[in-house]
Amino acid sequence: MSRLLPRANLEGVVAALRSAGYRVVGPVRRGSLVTYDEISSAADLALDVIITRDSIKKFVLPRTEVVARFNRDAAGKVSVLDATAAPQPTVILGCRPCDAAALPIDDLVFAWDSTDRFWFSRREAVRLVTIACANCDESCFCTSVGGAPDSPEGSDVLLTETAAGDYEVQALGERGAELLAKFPGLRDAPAADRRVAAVPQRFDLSAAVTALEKNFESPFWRQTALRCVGCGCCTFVCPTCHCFDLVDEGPAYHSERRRNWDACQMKNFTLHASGHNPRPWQEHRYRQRIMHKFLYYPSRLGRTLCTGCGRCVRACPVNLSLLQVVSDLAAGRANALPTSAGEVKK
Amino acid sequence: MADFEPNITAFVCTWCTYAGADLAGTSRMKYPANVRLIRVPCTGRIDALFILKAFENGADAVLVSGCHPGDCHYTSGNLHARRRWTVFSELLDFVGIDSGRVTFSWISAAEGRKFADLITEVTAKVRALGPFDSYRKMSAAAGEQSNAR
Amino acid sequence: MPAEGRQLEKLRHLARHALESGAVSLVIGFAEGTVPGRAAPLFCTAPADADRLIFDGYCTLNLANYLTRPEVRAHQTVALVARHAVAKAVVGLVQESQVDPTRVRLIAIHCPDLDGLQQDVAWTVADGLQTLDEFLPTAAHLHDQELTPERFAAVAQVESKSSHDRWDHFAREFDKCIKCYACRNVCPLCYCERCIADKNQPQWIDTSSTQRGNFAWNIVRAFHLAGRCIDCGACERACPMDLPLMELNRKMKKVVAERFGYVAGYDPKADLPLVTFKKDDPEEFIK
Repeated sequence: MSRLLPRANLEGVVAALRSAGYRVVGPVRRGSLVTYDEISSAADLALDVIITRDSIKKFVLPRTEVVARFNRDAAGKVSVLDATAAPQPTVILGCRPCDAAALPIDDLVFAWDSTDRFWFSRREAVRLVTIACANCDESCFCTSVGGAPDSPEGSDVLLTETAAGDYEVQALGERGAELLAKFPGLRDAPAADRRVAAVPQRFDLSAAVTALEKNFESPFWRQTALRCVGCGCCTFVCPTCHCFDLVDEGPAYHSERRRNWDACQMKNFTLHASGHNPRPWQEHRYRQRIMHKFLYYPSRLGRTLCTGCGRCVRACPVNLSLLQVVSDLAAGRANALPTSAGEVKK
Repeated sequence: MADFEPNITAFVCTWCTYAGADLAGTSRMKYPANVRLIRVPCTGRIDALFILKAFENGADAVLVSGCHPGDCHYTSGNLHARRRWTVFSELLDFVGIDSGRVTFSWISAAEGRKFADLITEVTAKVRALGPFDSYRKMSAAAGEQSNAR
Repeated sequence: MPAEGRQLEKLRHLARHALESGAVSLVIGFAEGTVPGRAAPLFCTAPADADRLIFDGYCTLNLANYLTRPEVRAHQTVALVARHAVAKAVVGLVQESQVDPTRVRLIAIHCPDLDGLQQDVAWTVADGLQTLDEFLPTAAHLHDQELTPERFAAVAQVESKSSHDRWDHFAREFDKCIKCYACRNVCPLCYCERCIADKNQPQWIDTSSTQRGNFAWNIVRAFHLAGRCIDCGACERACPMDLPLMELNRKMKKVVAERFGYVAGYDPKADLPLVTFKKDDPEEFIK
């Protein structure tokens, strides 16, 4: 037996969560764009899409967030004001497993060294009702990085579509059980056929990691990253990329310190005040992104910094596919390169 | 709206309009005290960013003014500026900023009367338009926006 | 062999020969993308690399963007697989003294404008490697098609709204912007070593992706390209959040054409419309 949520009751779920005080967000259409945004009805949900353009990251790490305010009074005295807001309780309905899995991975870095209260206060306020993927496309690769299209990792409630189009419901942990108790119209039903995408394994992760260990200086990076234009597209749509910059902005007398998304692919990311840039070429910046995700982060914090959602692959304006690059590494293509291959003089 | 006092930022060139404003003052002409002059060497120096920055800092309207064509102290600064304003004013209008919020004019050092009249006219017009709330709302503290998105 | 296959053979032959003969040391073109419906830029330095070149309706990126990259500048002479929009961008770069025309060759592709991704597009490749001067007369007739009303349909639709609705429209669109700067970085004419958006002393444009920061960035980007944008649409296609950037760029193009009678991308010797003037330029909006 399993718990079943008839598809028609999704509307009741949205209403129940909203009346319980949650802001409910989910994948919605905005013209040609499908993005996570607030919904007032289940009819707003775009559940037929494989994945939204941007990730759920913005609900825990907003693209711009105030971390402090400061005032300077007429006498010139500066006072720093706390800016921690009480985040709005939010349910993300129709989250994907590859999005949900990103949050526990990022928890590690936000709890490492010191605890980032901005991240965790939003994290506490967010509940994830994930819908397992019934479909995938050629950019999906969750199964290659330890995930699965029906993985419960990071979710509070997991919905899995049945052949009849209803949802099999699974609560995860206390938070999940608490949330599921608010779902109206659940019923017990015999286990039915579940619709779960078959995401093929695209590369051997351990082979890729071994290749990265050996190929820091490989001409592979130059050859690969020559086409990279150094925008922040891949990192900003990524659910696990979490780098930020702190800036003071606003009028001189009452201003804000903000934390904004930043991207290792941009040349200013590592530019020193002296003018020196330790990653002077795009190949260094591109290498950093791959190394950080698949070598540095796992070796320091134990998890691969990628959930295989494929957003960066789809969004890259120059078709520089991370999936292809990691597949090439795993297949040993970097090892095989003679040092002069793809030589482009600088 | 009766108690609304428009906040108008004027970027003026030092050779003509600023001198024209001086003349208005020394001639004891009266004009509304709603305008703050920012003196620049030439209208050619007035970047489109100045106008945006003025709005960001709470201006309800912006005035840009300099020497008449042919009178530029630097020969052609105002003629270059004219082309940029042509394009920029159309761009602002296109994105929905009321054309009454940005005024361009030529005022020479001898035209104290024109300066006083223009300030009076612009102030009245902006008073009718009301405060530039839509820009101000957009400029609201990021904290109020960040949780929503 | 079908016509398209013959054209592809010719394209590859031209590129291979250009590298073999030493006429150029780099050919920038397109290879098959990693997924259907995409093409990837390809940098050919060895004659054999030319065998991977392709051309189709997915080759929409503006390759002229790479000419100002330091890695590419290091080459003495570079050839571009250039549909018309790419060549127009080269014109702009030459006009603004960013690229030495004697160091660029074009493998010219004649095809319809690639406004959006499309699978099937008829194309032919010109005979031989061309210099910019050799190419220009072959595209001069396209000047008249730059200002057709169809191209400005989206602009006209925005113009028909009230001022208030236009503000709402752009406020909503700009709010989607995540400031990844893909629009800037794929733009061949956005070549500044240090962009105004990256300057912070003084800071003219908020780096924060707030509504105000997004507004300032998108307005200034459009304004800085006024009279320079060659209407290739690369920015809009690159935008991960689907901002209608070409509404702004085409509005600027229209204003510049109407007011100053200028269309970018045809004459590398012309003065840029916003760095020159005429004594009798229109000024009915000036009091």
